[in-house]
Amino acid sequence: MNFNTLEFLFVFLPITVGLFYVLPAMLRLPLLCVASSIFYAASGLIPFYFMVAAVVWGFVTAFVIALWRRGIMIWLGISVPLLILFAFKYLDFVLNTVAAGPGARDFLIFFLSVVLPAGISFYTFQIVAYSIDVYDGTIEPERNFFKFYAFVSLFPQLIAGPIVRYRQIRDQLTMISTEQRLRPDLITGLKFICVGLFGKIFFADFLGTFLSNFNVETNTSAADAAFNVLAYSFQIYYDFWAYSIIAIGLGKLLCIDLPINFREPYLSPNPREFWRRWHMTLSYWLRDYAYLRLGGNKVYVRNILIVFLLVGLWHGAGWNFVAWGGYHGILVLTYHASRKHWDRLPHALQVGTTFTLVTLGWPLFQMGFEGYVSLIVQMFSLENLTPSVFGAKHWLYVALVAAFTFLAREKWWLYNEIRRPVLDWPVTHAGLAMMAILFLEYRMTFIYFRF
Amino acid sequence: MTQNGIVHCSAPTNYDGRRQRRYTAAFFATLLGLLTICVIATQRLYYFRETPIDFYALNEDTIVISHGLTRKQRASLKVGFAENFAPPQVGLFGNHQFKYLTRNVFPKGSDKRYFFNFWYANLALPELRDYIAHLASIDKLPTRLVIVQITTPNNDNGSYILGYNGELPSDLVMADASAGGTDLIGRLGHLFSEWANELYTSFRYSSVLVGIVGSRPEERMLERHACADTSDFQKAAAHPILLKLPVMVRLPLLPADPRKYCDPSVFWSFALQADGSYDVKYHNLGRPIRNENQLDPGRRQLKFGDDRRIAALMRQIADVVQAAGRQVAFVVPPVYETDRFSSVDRVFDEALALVPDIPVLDHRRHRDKKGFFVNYDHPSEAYFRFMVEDLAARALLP
Repeated sequence: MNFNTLEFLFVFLPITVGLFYVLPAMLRLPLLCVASSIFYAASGLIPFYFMVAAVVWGFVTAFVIALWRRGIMIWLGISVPLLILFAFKYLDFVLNTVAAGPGARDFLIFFLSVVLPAGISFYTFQIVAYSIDVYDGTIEPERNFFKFYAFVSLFPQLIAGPIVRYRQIRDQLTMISTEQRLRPDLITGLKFICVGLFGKIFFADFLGTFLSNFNVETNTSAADAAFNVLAYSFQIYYDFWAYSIIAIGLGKLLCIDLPINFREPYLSPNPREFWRRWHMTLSYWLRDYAYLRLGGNKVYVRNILIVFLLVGLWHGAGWNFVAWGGYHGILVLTYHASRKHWDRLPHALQVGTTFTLVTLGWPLFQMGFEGYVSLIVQMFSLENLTPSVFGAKHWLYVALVAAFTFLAREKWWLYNEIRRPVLDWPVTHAGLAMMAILFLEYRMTFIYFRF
Repeated sequence: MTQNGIVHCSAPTNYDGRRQRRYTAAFFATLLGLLTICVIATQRLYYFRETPIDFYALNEDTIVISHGLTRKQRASLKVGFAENFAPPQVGLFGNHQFKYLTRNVFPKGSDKRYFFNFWYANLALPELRDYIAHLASIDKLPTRLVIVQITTPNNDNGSYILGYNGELPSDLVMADASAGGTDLIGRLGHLFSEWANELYTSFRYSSVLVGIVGSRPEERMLERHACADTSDFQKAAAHPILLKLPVMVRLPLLPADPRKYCDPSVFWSFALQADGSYDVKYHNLGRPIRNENQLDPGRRQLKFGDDRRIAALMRQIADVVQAAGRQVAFVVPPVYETDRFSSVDRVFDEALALVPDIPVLDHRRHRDKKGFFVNYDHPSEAYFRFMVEDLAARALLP
């Protein structure tokens, strides 16, 4: 199920939130488990069964890990979720890489023909983090299965994050299951949902609609290639940003605080800072469970490269994703090597350079490596006189989105504690939601659902 | 508001319950008001099942403009014709993949009542089954041959083969119990999806706009020769400034005259010809691009087990058509691609293996014949002539 569907907004959400506050506190966790299961199973039963299997495995093995804190135990704990992730997400990629024949594919047709379970990378990382935390002794194994199931499957963040750690959410889950009277921040919750829906449709999906008519394999003008690169950069940002904001808003309706995932990443002055502001929960996850365990700053270059290649692979099973991860690793290392000079540049130039470098990498999400090279070549080809597909109105639209991104600071209009006239009126938020609903026919699946 | 990366929703120290209640009440009152306006506006939409267009009566110069109509209205154009007029000898039931199939490719195509292309939207097998079963129940099936086009698996990574896409009028969905729509859960599911489709129609900006400004069915039939000189229409009816406004704003403000649809580049690519097809020459398609759909494994839409569902639907359609004394042929056109592995193709292979007795023109192997395509997923006239030859060779063509 998608947040940007009428079934979710008009049926699933009102019923779930309504029951959440009507039912006794002790039934809230079971309700969230059932609702999240319906939310996930609506997209397919086989992925749902495998998610349940991963959750049950993570829940049970945590006790074994806590009992015998040995290296082999942690591998036991994370093996099944990682195997499920491999089978559904990476098997096809591996078979392609080793040029497997039809026999191997026939043997594995079950995994190859099941639709990639949405959000599988997100919930797998949550289970893995939980198992490692239990192994480290920073948390005790959870004894209440409903609480653990709700932690992994909580529908606002199940499909595309934010990636939540158990210790971040444990006390909140306890609170909602014990306190009968809750005081949800409905104003912020509804505002985030409305703003997120509007941003998804009018920023991400409209740009996506423009780009759906673009194909790099046709003759492409330099201007069109540049438009694609720029527009996709904003599309992917607002797509994921909108999901995260809606998720936080939904959490607030259920009196659950989810961590923020973006902090104006396109205003970052350098590539390292970018990763502290973009998909923050993934960055922190990789820092804590990969980078630091590999030795952290002691072997900086090696560890940065390993972590960013992992980032690439986490996003998708393909060499283009690996290349994208490697590209960002090199950006961070380049900054590290040149920071004395880089940091002396004017701030606007630092931001502009970082944005440009990040933006040049995004098309690797859209297309294979050959297509990417072709696109970049076409973009910088001065002899390319092919007529443009994208006209002034397209560029104007991107310019407006860009102006909003770089000039409208979130602390003024999104995370503002002092309510502003017009911007924070309920009529304005209802109007934004209505606009998004009216234009839902332009909706696209959230890009990060694939991850 | 934010602490250690956590957004605190409850804000217990300065929680103002009264403000929360006032905001929530105003928010939902506004939203409800806006939704009500949309519902009222979309109640004014007209459908062509009540005022059907007789395509047989159209001359070759006349086209039916569907630009600006809602999906349900466009569907009613074809369904209304099928329900209300004599069926042709041969009929094609499918989706946009066959929108350029004209009767000119048939040897007896000069006869207006020989062939009609009933394609529309993204019809998949379940909706085609219901559509065909409905026509059989009112004795309006094509009298000799029913051609059913199945979306090529590699066209859209397995999409639009299974599943309801909300394209049929709701009273036709699973209306015929004998066609396989008897299970209670399935019916409840479809009731829900139909209700959801009504919601989508009611809350779509185009539906609301069309509902608010209104228009008449007859203004949509345009004789193209009337567009040779529209100066008198423009002088009499339209202020020059009006003609410079965006289409969606301009159209409702212009008088109810078909000549307001005279711009071929805007309106004629969404215009139905007398045989139900679109005219390919008004579509700016560029050239065919091989493997345009990358068949992203993460987005495939056919899965393990779907082979049995596909086969069952094909069987149900064949049974309905053959029980009515007509012949049936399924067609799976090619898409322009290399010989590449795809799991959706494999699932579909398994499905065809389950129905060896049903006539299927499986043309997927002609994937590399560039002349068969106008673009990646839309066959050309050359392909359609080839398909007709294949039908004739199998003695299926009357």
